Amino acid sequence: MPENDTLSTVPISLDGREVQASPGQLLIAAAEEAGVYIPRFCWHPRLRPVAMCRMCLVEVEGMRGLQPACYVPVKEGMEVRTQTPLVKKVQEGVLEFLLLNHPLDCPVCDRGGECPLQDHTMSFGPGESRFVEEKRHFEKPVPINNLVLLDRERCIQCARCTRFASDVAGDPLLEFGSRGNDLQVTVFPDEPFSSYFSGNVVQICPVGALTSIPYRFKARPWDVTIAETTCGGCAVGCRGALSETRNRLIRFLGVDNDAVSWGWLCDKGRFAYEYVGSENRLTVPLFREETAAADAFSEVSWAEAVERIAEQIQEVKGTGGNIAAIGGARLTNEEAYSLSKFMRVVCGTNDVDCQLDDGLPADFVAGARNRAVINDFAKASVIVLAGPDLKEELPVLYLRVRDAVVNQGVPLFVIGPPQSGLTDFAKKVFDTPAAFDPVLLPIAGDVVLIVGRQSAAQDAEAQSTWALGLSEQLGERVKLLPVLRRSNVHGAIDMGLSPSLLPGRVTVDDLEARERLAQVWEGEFPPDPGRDCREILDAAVEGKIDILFVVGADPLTDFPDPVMARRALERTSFVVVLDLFPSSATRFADVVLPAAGWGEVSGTVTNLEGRVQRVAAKVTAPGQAASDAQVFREIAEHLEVDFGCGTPEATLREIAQVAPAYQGVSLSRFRGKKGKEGVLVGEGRVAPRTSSPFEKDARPLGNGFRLHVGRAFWDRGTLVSECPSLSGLRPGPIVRVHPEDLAFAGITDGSSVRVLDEDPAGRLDLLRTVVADERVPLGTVSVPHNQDEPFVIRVGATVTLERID
Amino acid sequence: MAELVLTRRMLDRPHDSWTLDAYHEMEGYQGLYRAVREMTPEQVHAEVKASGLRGRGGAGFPTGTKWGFVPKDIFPRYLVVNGDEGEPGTFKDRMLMERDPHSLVEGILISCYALQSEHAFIYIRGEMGHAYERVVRAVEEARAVGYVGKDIGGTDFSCEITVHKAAGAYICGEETALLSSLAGYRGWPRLRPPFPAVKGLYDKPTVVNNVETMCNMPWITRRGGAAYAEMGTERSPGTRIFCLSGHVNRPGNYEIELGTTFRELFERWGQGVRNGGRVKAFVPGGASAPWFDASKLDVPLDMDVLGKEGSMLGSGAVMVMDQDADIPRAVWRLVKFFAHESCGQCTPCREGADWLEEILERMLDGHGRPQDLDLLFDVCDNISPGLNWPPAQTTICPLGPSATAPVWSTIRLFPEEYKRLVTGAHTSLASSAPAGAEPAGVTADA
Repeated sequence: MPENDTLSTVPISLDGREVQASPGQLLIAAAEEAGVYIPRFCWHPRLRPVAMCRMCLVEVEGMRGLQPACYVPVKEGMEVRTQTPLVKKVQEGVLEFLLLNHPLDCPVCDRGGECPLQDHTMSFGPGESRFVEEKRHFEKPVPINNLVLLDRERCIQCARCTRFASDVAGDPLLEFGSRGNDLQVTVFPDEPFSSYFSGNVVQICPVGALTSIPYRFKARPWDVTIAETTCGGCAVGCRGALSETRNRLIRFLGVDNDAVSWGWLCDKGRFAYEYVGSENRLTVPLFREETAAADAFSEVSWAEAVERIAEQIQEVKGTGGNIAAIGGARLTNEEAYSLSKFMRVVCGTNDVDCQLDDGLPADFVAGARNRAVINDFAKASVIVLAGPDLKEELPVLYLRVRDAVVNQGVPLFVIGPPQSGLTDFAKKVFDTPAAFDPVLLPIAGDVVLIVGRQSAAQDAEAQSTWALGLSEQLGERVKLLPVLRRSNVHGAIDMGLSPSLLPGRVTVDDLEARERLAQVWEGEFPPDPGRDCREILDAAVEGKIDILFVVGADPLTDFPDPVMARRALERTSFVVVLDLFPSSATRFADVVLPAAGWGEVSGTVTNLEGRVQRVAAKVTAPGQAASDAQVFREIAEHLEVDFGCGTPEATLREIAQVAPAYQGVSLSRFRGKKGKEGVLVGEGRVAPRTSSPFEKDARPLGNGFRLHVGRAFWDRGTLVSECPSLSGLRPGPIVRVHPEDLAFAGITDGSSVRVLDEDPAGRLDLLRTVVADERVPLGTVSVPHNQDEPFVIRVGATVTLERID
Repeated sequence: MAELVLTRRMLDRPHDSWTLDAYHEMEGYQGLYRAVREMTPEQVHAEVKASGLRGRGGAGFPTGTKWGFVPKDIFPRYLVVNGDEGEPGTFKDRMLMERDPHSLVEGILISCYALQSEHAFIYIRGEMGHAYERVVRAVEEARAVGYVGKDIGGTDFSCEITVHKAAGAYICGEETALLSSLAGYRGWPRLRPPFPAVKGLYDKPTVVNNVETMCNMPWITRRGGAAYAEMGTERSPGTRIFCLSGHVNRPGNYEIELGTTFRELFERWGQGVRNGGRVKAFVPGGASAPWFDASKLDVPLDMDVLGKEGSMLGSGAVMVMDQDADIPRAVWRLVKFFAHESCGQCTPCREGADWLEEILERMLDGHGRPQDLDLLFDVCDNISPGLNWPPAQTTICPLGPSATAPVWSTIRLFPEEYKRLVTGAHTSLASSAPAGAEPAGVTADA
């Protein structure tokens, strides 16, 4: 809004030229916007200014001495000089000082070629050093955790890493030690920089003092090509730049945007590019021979695979059989749309579900009114967080909530199990939604309500109706943010990968939407909701599913009842698995199709805010692996359906045409400064669900503990286990219990326990190491998901703990 | 000679001046009672203003004016007393804390009353174990009889005093580094604004005053600001303790009236230069101050006059060097101190102070090069542009410029001594002393 801009800016004199700047803005940023680059090392736009490096000193009329431009705020009429002989001399002096002890080992430094110290030396430095004495020496490099190495000789003590660790990540494990000329960045004795965000310190280091083990010595900046894309690690949708050399992904760096990630990435998002180049990728279509043993697949051509699948579909449709699909949260919007269209148009069914009964009801997610975006956090009067442990599951969302709460002072109410790194800052913590009393909220201002599935053993229906009830009670003040975990699960729901929804946040019985689809889609599909994942698997167990597409999903790991999932796959006559890697599901497949994934397919994805952002293809998929969209189109074409959607671009145009919430989303809107923030989709036409008060779920009687199953950041998921640098980082099979509960049960911290479902039909029976954790609510046993073999999780389960001697 | 404000008690009662009993017998805590019972906080503040008392820590800022910077209506507010005396050659606060701790406690209570602060902190240098014990004991004695704590002197004024033993970093004598250290953070100077008076300890308005400054308060309250202002000079009123050290016959702490000349300080109080020698150079106000040569002997001990002469009265440490002193070696030792004590926060001081030390050391080791004098000047200039006093600085705090002051001031005053080191004249092995040795002459006398 240009009018607003003029209202909020004031004139200042910059090197004799009048420019406009916002009062309160730091001089260094204002000057940069006006086209004057003031050199800097310690200043970073997303970190608290410390004015330590002294590189940005300028002269300001009326202020005594030189002023650090990174610390002085803009005031109307101030006269700033950035090019005086004194300023120039000081810049040369500071650079000479910084280079005194810098080893100048640029030829073997990862930073060489893209190093701010090199660049500044070229632009602002004296050119020659007068230092003839001995440089400082340190052991080099030393690991500060499993992913990052520290070379203290290269360090210029700018405190970017230490500020990031304490102020942004909330992991104050990097600090300065010693003083003066011995000042050095250090970790504490026997305490590594255990942070899910440690890669960020490598990225923001202005020299090569911090290097990442996965990227170290892999490439030089002039050997790589770079494409901007969106991280596929979770549903937050952080922006990043993907580097490729010789058709291999070798690095992923955060890209700053105001709306979502501020340039940060979690370590999983940052380093998981390794899995794309894994040797274990599926590279050719596989077909199970009728007579062969369980694991005997034979390689077939794509043409043959497509033909055989098409034949099966034709046969099943001819006999009135059932076709269903589960999965799809890994796909781009365009691929998900293709799958959605394929299932409706080609297979004539609504039996599709991108969630594996481990998320929230799709109509709650798609139908939420008055949605919050991430940038609402800092402006809210309060944040009510009734979601999964954000630091473990949606890490950069955690960073943004943390910033709002810790740095901006927004009060936080935590409902449910502990939030790592946030519960300590909460104004109040409630064990369950039932215990929460809205009377405690501030009387005015926006209430940001973040709602997610907190435990696989939690009743998702009850959670969502409670959230709706609270929204109704408080009215327009509530800004709701339903959060799911998997990368593009929100996009997949928006594309209609849900039994009750069509593309664009409308229900399957929405007449207007069906009418519009009928003009584009050639084929019939029922007006009633189909089966969800659990119902599909139920039907499969009963032998009622004839063809099951499993698309980038592993129900044997992620569905809460792996035993049932296995039986379902065994009893389905024809199982088609599309995936990047062999999984426990591929063992029961009749056809395995190698899919192209993140970094190999271009298109768009939608994050948990409903923000559409682009993803880029940077390398070719291995072997014959192909985009899921291409597979579905070719099968459709084989069945003589005019499928369209030949390219991601064409598919996006079709989405914009038929999906109400995506009207107006087009590639042109991703260009320019505004396009950097992505495109927020509109509201759809999913009717708000009915709300209900949350049932009191008091602590179970007797010896039973409430079962909590949450995700841990490092687990056995593909992203982690197929990355050599990350696969060893998961905490392993543990359970967490409050120390008082442990004491009462006579169990010591660190001993082995058996976790048993109280319901004999429950089938949960685990042997784990118990860890005392006072953040776990009393009466709860918390089991991280997917740390070793999957186990059966019953909603509302209560369990007993037995000591194993 | 004016009356002794600060050292009378320890001279009269050398064996027990630090006890409450002795202090009581010498008008102890009468100033406090006068303040809290007969005066309003504003009246006490007005007396301090009228006294013209200037801070004794180094900067010499008028105390009453400093108190006036505290915002009117923000509470709590704190008084923090800087007892982190660490400037080489300075040893007056230690003596006051060891021998007259009750005057410090009384001064703090009076100041807190004037500032309407209910909590004061005394930050004592870690190495001063004895001083720390004496101050802790004095606070406990004062608490036992009701001077410290609730409802002091039967009034509704309450004040708590916390004594903190520091960990031994010179930089923590810088007031903002001190506040960070006291609050449990790394002892690094803070950027200003905000100033401590607005946002200091625990982000609350805070006044930081030196120990000696505080010890003047009982006298000022008892006798009035006007009486104090009659002593000393117009702009530097009162008496002050000077820490006289170096090549004089009687080094020590001397409380004298401001306005006395250096010559009188050296001759009357220091009883002349050792061995009947002559003054070659002296440091007029602590290790941070630019040096003077003998031409400045008749300059009066007056803060403003010294400022005009291009140095400062600083912490009151006066170091005398006779004709045998090896100036570059003495300077090297001071620079080594500053390099060692640099906090490392900002680049010019962290890197530059150490470089200065290394250049000087190389020169003293006989490896001086003709370009080294220009280099020394330029490195100093990159830390403290212009090489003037009071200094300009590229650093956050004045420690960086302090490290340069001995270097550039002595190269200007004694260029021959440095030229000797860079023209090869010094490369005779016989004339090079072992690294780390005392200035030539001292060992010969000992």
